[in-house]
Amino acid sequence: MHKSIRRKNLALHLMVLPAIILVFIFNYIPLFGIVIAFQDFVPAKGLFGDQEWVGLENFRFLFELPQTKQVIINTIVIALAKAIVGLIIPIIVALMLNSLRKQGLRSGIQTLIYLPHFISWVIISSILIDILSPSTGIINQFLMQIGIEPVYFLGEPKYFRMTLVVSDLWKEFGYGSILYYAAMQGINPELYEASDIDGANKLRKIWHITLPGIRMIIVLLGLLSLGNILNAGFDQVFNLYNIQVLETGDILDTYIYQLAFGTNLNYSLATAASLLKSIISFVLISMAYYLSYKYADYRMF
Amino acid sequence: MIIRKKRVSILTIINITILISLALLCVLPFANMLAMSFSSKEAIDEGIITFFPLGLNVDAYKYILSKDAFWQSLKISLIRVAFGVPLNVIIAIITAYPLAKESKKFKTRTIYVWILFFTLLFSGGIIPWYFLLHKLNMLNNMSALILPGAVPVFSIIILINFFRRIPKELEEAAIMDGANHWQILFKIYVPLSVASIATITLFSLVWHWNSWFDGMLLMHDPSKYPLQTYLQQILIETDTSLNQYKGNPEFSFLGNKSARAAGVIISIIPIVIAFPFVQRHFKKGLVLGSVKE
Amino acid sequence: MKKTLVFLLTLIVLVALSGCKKTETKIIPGDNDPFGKYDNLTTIELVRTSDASIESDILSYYNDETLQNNRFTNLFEEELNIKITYKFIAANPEQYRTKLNLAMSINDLPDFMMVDPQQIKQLNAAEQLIDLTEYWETYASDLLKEITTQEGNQVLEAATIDGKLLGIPQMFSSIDRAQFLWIRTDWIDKINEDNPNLNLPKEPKTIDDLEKIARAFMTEDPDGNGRDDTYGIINQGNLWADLGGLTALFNSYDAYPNIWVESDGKLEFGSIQPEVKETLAKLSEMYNEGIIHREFATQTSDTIADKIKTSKVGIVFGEQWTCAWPIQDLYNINPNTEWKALPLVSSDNDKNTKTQITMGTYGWWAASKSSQHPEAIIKLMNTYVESIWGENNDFDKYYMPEETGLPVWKLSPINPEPPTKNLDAYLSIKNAIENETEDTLVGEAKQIFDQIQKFEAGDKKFWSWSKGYNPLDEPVYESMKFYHDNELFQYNQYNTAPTETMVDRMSFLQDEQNRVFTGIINGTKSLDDFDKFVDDWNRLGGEDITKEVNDWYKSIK
Repeated sequence: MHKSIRRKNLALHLMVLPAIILVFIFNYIPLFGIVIAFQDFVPAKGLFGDQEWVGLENFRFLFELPQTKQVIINTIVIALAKAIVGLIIPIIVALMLNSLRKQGLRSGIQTLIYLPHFISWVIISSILIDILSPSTGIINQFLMQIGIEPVYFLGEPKYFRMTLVVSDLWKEFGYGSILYYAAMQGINPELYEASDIDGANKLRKIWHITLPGIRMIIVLLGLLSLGNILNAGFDQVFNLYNIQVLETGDILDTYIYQLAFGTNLNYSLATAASLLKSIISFVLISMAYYLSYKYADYRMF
Repeated sequence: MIIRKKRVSILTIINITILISLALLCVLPFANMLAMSFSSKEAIDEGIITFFPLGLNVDAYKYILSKDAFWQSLKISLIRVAFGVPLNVIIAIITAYPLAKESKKFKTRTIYVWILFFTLLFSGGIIPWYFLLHKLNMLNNMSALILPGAVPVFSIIILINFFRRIPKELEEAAIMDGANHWQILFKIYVPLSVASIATITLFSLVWHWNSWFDGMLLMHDPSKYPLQTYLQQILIETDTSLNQYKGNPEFSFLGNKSARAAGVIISIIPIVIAFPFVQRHFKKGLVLGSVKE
Repeated sequence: MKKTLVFLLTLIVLVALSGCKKTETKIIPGDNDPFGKYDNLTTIELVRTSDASIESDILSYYNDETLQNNRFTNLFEEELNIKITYKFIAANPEQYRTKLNLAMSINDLPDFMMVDPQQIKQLNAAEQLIDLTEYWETYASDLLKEITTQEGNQVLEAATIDGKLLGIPQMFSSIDRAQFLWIRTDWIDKINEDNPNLNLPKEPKTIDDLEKIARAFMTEDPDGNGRDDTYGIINQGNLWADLGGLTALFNSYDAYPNIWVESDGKLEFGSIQPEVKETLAKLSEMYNEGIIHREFATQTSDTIADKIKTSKVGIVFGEQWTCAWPIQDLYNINPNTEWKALPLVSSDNDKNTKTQITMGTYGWWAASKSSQHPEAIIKLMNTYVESIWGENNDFDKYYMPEETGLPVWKLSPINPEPPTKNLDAYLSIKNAIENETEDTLVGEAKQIFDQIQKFEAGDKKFWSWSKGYNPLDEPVYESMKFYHDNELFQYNQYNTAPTETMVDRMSFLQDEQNRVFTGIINGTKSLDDFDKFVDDWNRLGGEDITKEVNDWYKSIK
């Protein structure tokens, strides 16, 4: 009996093998490269050359640079804003969709609001650059019609973060509402009927039935987005930012990219910053999964 | 049950209005692009285009479609999708199946799952990854766009959850009939998981189609840029080496908002067309896969 | 069993990764002849940068040529039996740096590459370069040697470490890097005509003059289309760009950012001096008024060119070639446009403004260990300069064909040029016209003179030649002569290999500087942030750098 199980299980091992090998090569081997963060990496010496070990020097210098603190602040502020807004709005939208009677109208609206999620940030950034232009964009044309001076959304630090958050919301709110909407379908209709008898109006039903009914999903998604707090959106920021808004818009990922491939070409620093980010993210995401396991009874696998 | 003639309440009207506005909000920027793509340069410069073209012409489209670099990048993206998506889906299927088994039936299952899951938690960053790809001679090679992302861990997890819901009796019956694991997987599990598989196929498709950063970082030749990388260079940054292709170098993209708008429209056409059909399957699959009841 | 499998796998992969070292290549002895042709076809690998004008102007006209296959590659094959291949062609200088750096990290260097002294230092420390001292002595032609050392030996010294010459400088003219104020005078005329009380000066001498003109350009609709779309002064995101940079305005206030200037026998870094603060205050005012445009940070040389071509711009700072590009494009569609290239304005009336420049090289060609024929690069340069400025030159074919006026010299991967050739040519022409000895003109001067004649005869596309070199057309080289005669070039006083701390820290200091300066100009930072910047600059390495620079300066005096 044992032998045949093992032989049968050989097939299972073989099935998993390709994934394991690929993941080993492309995800685990690069982990060795982390050592660059502890070296004074001189490209000319080559990867396996005689690089000088400098311990935590790179990390120290990283925090001496004035930009580093600013970048971390930007990342957290932007990610937090996106997380909060990205939690509340889709729930509201899902509630609204849920209240719609007409299936056709709902389907149609859903199709339209899901769409931006599937378009790349390259495209959307190009659109935003055009429509937000202070001189020719339609948003500012509209503002001027109602007597407001044109606003340079993508060029002034004080507006940039808001622009990031709002445009990200625009892109993702529809897709974000799917899960909440689907979860709402799972709520027992008898609960609503019972509340009808008690004479509850729509808002009360939402507050006492719908929201508690999707409590688990809210907690889950909330925790997961907190775990992601250091990812403020590289694709978006990279394509929308410029030197004028670095102050408020430069995030960890774009900062690391600049350190590695920008004017500094300093792989040591970039890897050090990247390592720092990975470690903190690891702690946060692990916590998030653990907490959702405990409180939202969520099991990944 | 009392049948009442319902008045349409104020709340409902507000509800519908807001929802329709939101839907429009998602569509209008594209409408603006559509209009700009068919408008004349002068009209655009005046800033008076909103949702209808002025000075109707198709010059912008002619311009883009005449650029060899555009077609080349489209070709690259299509190749990438043709190889990358099936690879993703197959790997997801054959990896999820064993990992959906219980630990007592398949002891190393938990280790394997953690090996995969760990990659979602921690990474070495882009620089070691980049150096590795170079050492493997994968830079400037299509394989760099397909292999590194070949294992879609998140999709695998979705499939694992889905496979677990399939009644074990089916498997047990098949084993008694003498079926091996491959047969069980492809003859029983897969046909029952069409919704989920469609979902992860869609994820993979969208990811490959929208990827631009790996193309930018890993491809030296502009002739190997996938579509989104090409667009990124044309619409946002300027990569003048793209001009190595014979085309009509009369006016540059940057100053030409009409051409940029046309670029946007052309690149979203596949998604806009495919989307209404695909989204039905996708809604179901996503929900079932990621949330355990 | 599983454990062993995993272990073996790791071992295999690690071995595979570390095992791929390049075998050392042997150098093949040469023939000691500066122009000697190789017996067999000799392939060498280079890298280069391209730019927009090569494709859009040159290759679109000469459409049977490409960067890989053109008149120069043919020349080098015919004369020297050298075939050129490229490891990569970068789209712009930034991409070139990134790609080269990555190539360095993975020991994947071409035979020859253009690098800066910092990279030479690092590559030398890693023993990746070939000592070219002997090669230079033996193989450099007289003409090449003359060109290289015309302005002194610093260009060679900058690439010499421990007595080894590790890079051959690609010469160009340092004075040709001077900035001029390019101003559209037909607009001034038009505005003066429509508003006589404005009385705009046609040759602004001070900042006030300039501002007056800029304001008028912004508000008086000089392009006559009824819309508010013309710029005051146009500039771009890169504050120090050669086209649309603001260095010139700093110079007007006697500020010299990014270079080292002497003061009381010591060298100081221009960017942290109080004059810079003064300039920033002024620039910030200009931004508030709109003279410096709100969206300047997202402008590039290309967008500026576009705006000039579409008549939105009347003031821009640029080098002497600005009339050739992009203004020539404007002239082609609007022959009524008139421009002047003036010396820089000053902050007050009493003095002349100096324009800041640096040592005249684009970079240094270094030979990597893999190169089997280190002398090849020198031979290429010999042939190049010979074919253009030598005794039996074909200036027309290899520099600029008369017929098109296109800079075909860009098709060659290596383009050294005599540093003062342009000014010399101008002076010859001016002299010839004054003494009516035009028929004695030779070489480049003659070529240019012929182009001017063609323009006079009515061929529009040679306008930039006239604007550049016709003494009767208020040309840019007259302003250059003015700089030269009045010694108005402010050279960078530190012109050798970068110091230890420069290598480590300079890029961060520059980044921070550009961030802070841009911020002060557009109002997101206050002037006090300048003082904080100076403190940071010193603290994060600037102080050490200054010390190292002055140690060097003392040693050469």
